[in-house]
Amino acid sequence: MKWLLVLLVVVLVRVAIADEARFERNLAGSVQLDYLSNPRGTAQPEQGLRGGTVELSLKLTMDFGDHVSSSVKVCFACHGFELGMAFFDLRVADELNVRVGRFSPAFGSFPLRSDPANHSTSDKPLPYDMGRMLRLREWNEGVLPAPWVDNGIEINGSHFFGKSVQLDYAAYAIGGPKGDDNAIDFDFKQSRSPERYYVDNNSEPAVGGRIAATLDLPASKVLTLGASAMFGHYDPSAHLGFAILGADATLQLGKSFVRTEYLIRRTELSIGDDPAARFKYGPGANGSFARYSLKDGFVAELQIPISRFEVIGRWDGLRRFGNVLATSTLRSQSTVLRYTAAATYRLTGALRLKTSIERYDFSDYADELVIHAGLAGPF
Amino acid sequence: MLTRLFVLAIAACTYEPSSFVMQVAAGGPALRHDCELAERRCARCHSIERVERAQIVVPRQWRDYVHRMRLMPGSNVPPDEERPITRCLVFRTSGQPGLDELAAEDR
Repeated sequence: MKWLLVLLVVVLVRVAIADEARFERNLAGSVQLDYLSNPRGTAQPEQGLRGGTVELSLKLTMDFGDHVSSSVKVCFACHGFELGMAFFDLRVADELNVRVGRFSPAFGSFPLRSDPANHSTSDKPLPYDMGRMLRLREWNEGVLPAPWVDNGIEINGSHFFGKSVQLDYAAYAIGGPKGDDNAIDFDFKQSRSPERYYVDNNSEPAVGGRIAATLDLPASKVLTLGASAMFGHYDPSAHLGFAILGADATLQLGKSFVRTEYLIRRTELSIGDDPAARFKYGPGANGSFARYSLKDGFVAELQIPISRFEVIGRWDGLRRFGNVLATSTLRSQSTVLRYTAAATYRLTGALRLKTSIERYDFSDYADELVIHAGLAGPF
Repeated sequence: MLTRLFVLAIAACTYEPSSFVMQVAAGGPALRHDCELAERRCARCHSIERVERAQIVVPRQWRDYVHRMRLMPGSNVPPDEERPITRCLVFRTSGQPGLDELAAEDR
């Protein structure tokens, strides 16, 4: 703890003596309007966000000289206005930056592009789903919805070894996901609920980090390999722990991209006073009820630009292992695989038409077809 | 025959010089190279349209913005590429006067 205090003092002194005579601000944003059609519609209306949705973001960045900057981002989407960013960056050097406030902690590769104007499909990969997947309530969304926005502090940096190798690293302490004392999984609504306050629910920060290496290879190839982790407790009593691990690999071939990611989350659950009545399945071979579940997800995506078009092929999926509530329609081992064919067309200026067809292959429900059509762009 | 024509058409579309680069044709081959570099690097994390729509016209602000973007994870922009990328973006919005202002600030 002492070294952390020393570090903070060094950072504050360094930025305090920096040049603060210059002030620069920049305003940017993005808009996406998307229509989701589920032609067969065997799932109930509340099991998918069918119809039109709008995602709007406005970001103001302010530079106070070379060593201090701030960013504020407001978003409006499916659950109203949210504060996507409100932080200061105190940069001592390229290798040492301290971020304090409200931000998306470093985890994985896709969250860096989670703004709808920064990725080519209308929705997010299943491991990072935040409500567009079918059967979202049964599955309780993805492994870690993106963007995961939280309050805390992050220390990050970047270093180049020569011209061909970039090392990025980050470590953070944040409020973390939330749930009740008798929860079996995260309750994502608590993380965006004014009634529950936007504060840590158990006074114990969740911690994590990411490390990634980017290699500039011959013949216009760039390879990025990353590993991420997040740990903590999510209930008010800090008894139910969780651990999330992630691995990502991105290969850039000229202007085309191959992106792959894998996430896995182990979530401890409360078995309650009467687990036999609470859960669908009985005790295991050892006579006791399992006190955790596993959820993992993957995505593999190919993106090829062709003049004003982009074509995208994506394969992603989720798996869940563990007991479920007696009322759940999932099983002790459930899987969803999704196959996506997408295309975008640059209409004019920054506006892109996004279209995609998704086929869901559920282990527990009928297969579904989803069609997206939308417009998106930055400004 | 139709298949060959289709493949040739796709190939022709793929190799079309981008408008981002063509817009600096008047700046000469060096600037064209700088913008090809900028397009290759900037399009890693977001569309090039986001760069084209950026509300930045002050050369110094472009320099600071490129520096911030360089430090984003996985940017693949080494320190010595900041300057050429900045030159491209400054020329696109401010022309030669912008480059002159940038050079004066760097002295």
